[in-house]
This record gives sequence, C-alpha cells and structure tokens, in this order.
Amino acid sequence: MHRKLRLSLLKIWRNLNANLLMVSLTFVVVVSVLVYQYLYNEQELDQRLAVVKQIDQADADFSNGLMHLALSGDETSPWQYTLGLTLIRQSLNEYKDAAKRLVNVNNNQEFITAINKLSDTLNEISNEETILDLDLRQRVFVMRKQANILERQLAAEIEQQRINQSSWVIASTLIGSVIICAFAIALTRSRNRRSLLNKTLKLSEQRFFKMLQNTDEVFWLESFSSQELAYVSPAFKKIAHVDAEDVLYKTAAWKKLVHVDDHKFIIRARRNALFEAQDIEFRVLQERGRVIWISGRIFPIWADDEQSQNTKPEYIAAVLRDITQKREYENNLVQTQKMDSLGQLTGGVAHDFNNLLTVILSNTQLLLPHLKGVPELEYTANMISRAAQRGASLNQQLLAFASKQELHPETVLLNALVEDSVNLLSRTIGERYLIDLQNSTQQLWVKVDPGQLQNTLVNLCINSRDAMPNGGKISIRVHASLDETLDGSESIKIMVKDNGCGIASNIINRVFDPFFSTKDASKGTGLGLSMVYGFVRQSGGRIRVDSKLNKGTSFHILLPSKQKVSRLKICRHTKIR
Amino acid sequence: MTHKAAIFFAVMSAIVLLMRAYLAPEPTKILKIGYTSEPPYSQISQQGQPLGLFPEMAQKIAKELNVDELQWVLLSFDSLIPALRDQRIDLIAAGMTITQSRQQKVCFAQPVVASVTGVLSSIDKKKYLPDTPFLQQSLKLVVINGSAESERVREQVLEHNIMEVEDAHLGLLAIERGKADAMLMTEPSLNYLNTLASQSLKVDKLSDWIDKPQLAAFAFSHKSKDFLERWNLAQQKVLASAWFKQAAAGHGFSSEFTYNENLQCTAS
Repeated sequence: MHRKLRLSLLKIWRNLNANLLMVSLTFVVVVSVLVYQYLYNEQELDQRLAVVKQIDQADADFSNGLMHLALSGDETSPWQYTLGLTLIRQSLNEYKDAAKRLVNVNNNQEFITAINKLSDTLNEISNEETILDLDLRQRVFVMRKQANILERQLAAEIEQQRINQSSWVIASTLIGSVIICAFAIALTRSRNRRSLLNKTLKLSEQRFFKMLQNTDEVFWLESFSSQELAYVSPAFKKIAHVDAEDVLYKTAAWKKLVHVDDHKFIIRARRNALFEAQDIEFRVLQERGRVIWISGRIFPIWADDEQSQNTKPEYIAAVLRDITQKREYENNLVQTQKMDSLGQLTGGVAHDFNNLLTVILSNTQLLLPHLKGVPELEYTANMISRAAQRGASLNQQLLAFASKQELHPETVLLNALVEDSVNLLSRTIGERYLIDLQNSTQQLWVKVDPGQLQNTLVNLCINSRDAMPNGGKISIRVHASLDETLDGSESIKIMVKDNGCGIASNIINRVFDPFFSTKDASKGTGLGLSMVYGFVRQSGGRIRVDSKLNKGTSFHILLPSKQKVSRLKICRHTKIR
Repeated sequence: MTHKAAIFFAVMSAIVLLMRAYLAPEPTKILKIGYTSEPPYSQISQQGQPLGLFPEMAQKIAKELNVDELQWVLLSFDSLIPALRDQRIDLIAAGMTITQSRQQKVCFAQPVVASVTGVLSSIDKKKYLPDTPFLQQSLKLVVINGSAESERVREQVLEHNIMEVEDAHLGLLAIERGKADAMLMTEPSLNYLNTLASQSLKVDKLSDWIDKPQLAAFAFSHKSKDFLERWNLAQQKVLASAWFKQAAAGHGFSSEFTYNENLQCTAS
C-alpha cells in the first residue's frame, strides 16, 4: 500500500515536472520577446533623448561661441574671435546632426534650412568682419526659435512614447500571462487526455492478450519482407507442442512446422493472400510424428490503413485452429453413413436373393427323388442344390454384414468365452504365431450371440495371421472400458492387435466394405470383416480400426456391458503358442 | 518534450536571435575627439582647425588604426571629462595630466610627454619670489578650471586666493590686468602664453611644491578598454617615430621620462 502510494506520488511529480518545464519554457520565450520589444522601444527613446541632449549641447556651444564673438572686439583678445566662430560652427554642425537624426519629426526640414542660412551668413560675416549685422541677428533668432520648437516637440513625443511604453508593457504582460495560462491549461488537458488514452489502450491490450491466452485459436504474425515471426499466441504450444520461444523472431519458422507435402500449398496461399484473405487447411507434424490438421485464414496487414496495390504489406497474419478431432468425427460419420447405406442395400438384396434360393433349393429337393435312376439328371440336380446352398451361405454372410442375420443372444461371461475361443484358435492358427491374451480379472458379462462372437474373434485373428506371413504375436485384450462408452452407458472392450504389415491410410476406411480385400482371391471372399462389422453393430456395439503401415493393426470392439464395471486390472496374462 | 514543442521553441529562439541581431548597434567608424584651447597641447588655428601636439598625434594614430573619419569637438577644459563620460566624445586629445583622481573617471593611454609645473608672474610687480617657499607666499593664484594645478591648489590654498578661469588666455588676461599675482600651469603652456603677453612677464619653475613632472596622455572612457589597447599599440609606433621627437621638442616638451606606475582603468 505504502509502495503504491509512493509510486502514485512519483507519477504525479513527474507529470507536474513535465508540465512545469513546458510552461517555464513558454514563459521564458514570451518574457524574452516582451523584454526585447521593451528594450527596442527603450532604445528608440534613448536615441531621442540623445538628440535632445545634443540640441542642448549645441545650444550651449552656440551661446558660448556668441559670447566669445561678442568679446572679440577687445584688442587684447584676438583669440576670442577664432574661438567663438569655431564654437558657433561646431554648434551648427551639432544642430544639423541632430536634425538629420530626426527624420520622422515634423519641422526638421525647416530647421535644417534655417541652420544652412545661418551658416551662409556666418561665412559672409567672417569674410567681411561685420558681425553686428541685422540679418545675422534675425537668422540667429529664426534658427534658435526652430531649435526650441523642435526640442519642445521632441520632448512631447518622448513623453507620449513613455506613456505608450507603459501601456504596451502592461498590455503585453497581460496578453503574455493569458497565453501562458492558456498554454498551461491546454498542456494539462492534453496530458490528461493522453494519459487516459494510454490507460484505455493498456486495458484494451490486456483484454486482448487475456483473450488470446484463453482461446484455442493461434494468432500468427510474421513480417512480410523478412518472414521473421513477430508474434504467436500462447495456444501455439498446445497445438504444435513447440515452445513459442523456439520459433519467435526466426525466419520462415512455418516451414519447420508444416508438413512437407503442404509446403507448396502454403506458399501459394501466402502469395494469393497479398490480394485477398485466403482460407487454408494443412497438416502439421508434431514431435512424435503425429500429424494434426490445421485450418484457418491467412491475410495481409499494411502499415497504414490504406491498402494499396503498389505497396507490400508490412505483416502477414494468420488465425489458425486444430481441426484434427473434427476431421476424425467427420470421417467416422461418413464411414458410418456409408456402412449403413451399404448394409441397407446388401440386406435388401440378400433378403430377396434368399427367397429365390429358397425356391431353387426346395424345388431341387422335390426333384431329386424323381430323378433316381437317371444319373445324368440327378447329378445336375445335385449341382444346382450345392450351388444354391453355397449361395445361401454367402447370402447368410451378407445378411450378417447387414446386421440382419438371425442371432441368438445370451448373457455370457465374456472372459470365459474369449478364453475358449483363444484355446480353439491356438490349435488351428499355427505354431509360428503367439496369442497373447490379457484377460480382465473382473467378470465381464455381455449379451451376445456366443457363436457369432467366437466367429468374430476367429475372423480377426485370421486377418492378423494373414498380415504376418512370417509369424508374429497376436494380442487380445479384454477389459471394461471407462474411456469409451456406448451412448453414455458402460461398455466392455475387446482389442485384437498384431504387428503385421498394417493397412495403408488411403484404404483403411474400406476394410469393412463387403467384398473388399487386399488378399488373394483364394484366401477369402472379402466378407469376413464385413460380417464382424455387421455382428458388432447388430449386438449394439461399435468397432474401429487403427493401423500404421508396417507397424501393425488393432481392432477395437466395444460391447454393451450387462453389469456395472469398475476400472479393470489385468492380472491374468496368458500366452499361448 | 514532443516533436511539435521542440519546433515551436526552435522557431521562437530563431525569432529572438533575429531580433537581437536587428537591434545590435552597428560598429562606429567615426572617432569623436575632444580638445580644448590650451597651447601647445592643443589649440585652434585661424581657420578653426585643431592644432597642437595631441591633435596632430591623434591624427597619426587614427591613421594607424584605419579610422574612417575624425570629428573634432571643441570644449572648455573642465567639460572634457564630462563629455567623455556622456559619450559625446570618444577620447580626449588635450594633453590631460594623469592624476589619481582622474583615473577614477577616465582611462589614460600610455603617457606621451612630461612637463614641469611653472609659475607665470609679472616681472615688474615682483609678487612671486622664486626663492621663498611657494606656500608661504600670500599670492592671488589663477588656475584653469578642472586642471591638475587647480586640484592641488584647492587642497592647500585658501579659497579666496584662488581664481579659476575657463582657459589659458583668460588666465593671461588676469595676470596682465592685475587680477591675480601668479598663474600655475605646465611650463610649456606658460612659455607659449608669455609669447602672447603684452607686458613683461616671466615663467619660473615651481620646484619646491609640485616637484614631480606632470605626464600628459590621451584619455578614454572606461567602456573603451579594447579600443584603448589598440590605441596604445598604435601610439607606441608613433612615439618611436622621428616626427614625434621633433614635434615634442618643437613644442617644448620632454619625451624622455620614466613612468613605472601601473595605469588603472577601473570604473567608479
């Protein structure tokens, strides 16, 4: 609390200091201008006062000169004549000089004319040596009269100028004070407004960053010219599993993240984004090799608001989100819809086909007693009957896929059923294969057709065997599933896994399709997994397959549980060769 | 400080500097020289032109300093220092003696000539007795107003025995007409006056009271210290010239003297 108060006081003091500095500087400038103006006026006044003084001096010299001239009649004082005349001439020059300095004053021309006339007269007198001449006296009178007028006029102007100067100083001081006050107020208001704007901006930034921190979208900002990453939001780590520090300020950081196969697409999108925003979808390779799907929009940002065709953007930005899960859901949905459609189609065809086969088989059975003794016809009838039976068998498998086979569900102990099936398989599957059964110690009850469930296990194990022609391990795991549920209810999971050749990602969605097989025609009809699929669905369960090429395949069957399950503990571990 | 504020203050500063430059006075090219009628230091010719050792020397020094124009202002001796202080003139070229009291008011250049104090008196009246101590004689003394002698006399002579006149010619008249018994001035001036006298007058050296020679120099205002330094440099050249030796001797001055005191130039 104490620290907060101290910081607030420090902030106020700094603001005050900044304001004081600005106001003080303004004050200094305004005062300097006023002082200079004042000094300028004072200088003018001084000049006028100097002229007045000069006129006084000239007047004194003139009087002195006259006195010496007047006394020069005495024979003992011949020097007085020269002295007097010199002083008078000197005074006339001073008068003239003063008059010239008063270019703006009235009567100065008349005054100069009077001085010139007097000078002329003095020259004449000095030549003729007749000093008490009427004309001289008259001209002296006129000149001195003019000098007096000029001096009075000058004195009056100086007085007026002094008054004006005082008024000017008062007015200037008032105006200057008003300017400084207005400036100080404007400055304070401006600073307050700026402070408020800064605060608002800071809050806005905080809100924005908070939003970025709590959103799953990644905000990516990169310099357009250098491709240096300027900013990436915190969600980046969640998606790419890479620290932001590892990519920030790096050039073309995206290239290390985006899947190599999508580089061309991204480069094209970046180029097109110069003109308009581009929607993009690409893959990112995570550290452990997991591929995730990213979707988003890439768009340019110009330095100023005005977008121009001729200028390059300052930044290129992208808003991205992880759509891997969404894509998986979509894939599953499509797969489910496809399998449903196929099931309906297959079921319908198989049903009608079954009716036809029934007619063929019935009639063949009726014919056969009548053909005894006609071996050729009996043979033909038997051929028809066997073909019809094979067709019926095939039809049964198709009905199984379409989940329309006739099932006889019973509540059975899954642990025992699976164990029996494994025992059966271990004898038939071959010596090169190891079946690893991890059975739950918990009693797991399910309601299924036990024969069909055994068929399912056999089918899956045969598939695993075929995927490992040189032998290998088939893992079967039975446990109560808490992670995956069936429409929210408890379920039991059976997993059959091998480390065989795996299934390519482009065909994995077709493995349950009827008649789809990667095996030779002699090894199967392509209906095994279709039957498994149909049976699981018909039993209220779900099946999915995970596979990696050359790593192996695992089938996960989820069946509805008939009792409450708890977290399983697999302690019965059986390995059968 | 914001960018705009910085520009604002820069513009204002520029305006202030321009105003200052506008208001700055132009350097003076005209030199106004004050002089008085006190031969042979300075005097007026028949045509009203300045003459004498100091005006002539001032012309030569001004030439050394490349001064464009000289303006001569004739003043009474006592008006010289006030005129200098009022800036009516820039320097005094009247052979003004360097004294302590004057150094409070003006700045002196290096001394130019030395001269002893003399006494001008009537031979016939025998009022002044050279062999009797000066201050023991009850004399009516005439001195020029504002002169160095005037300063000394005022210190030790009774007021009613002192007659102050405007210039040397009036002092001469006072002696001739019996208004005063003796006139105190520098010997060269008194010798010159004696040549104008209509009566039998004599000039004696005053050796017992004012025994030190008086040093005469150009005087400047305290505001012209820089110019004074330049003046001294130029003056040294003129003092070393043959013209000066001849002119000084011609006017009865001694140019051979020693001066060890530091000239003060401090405004009071």
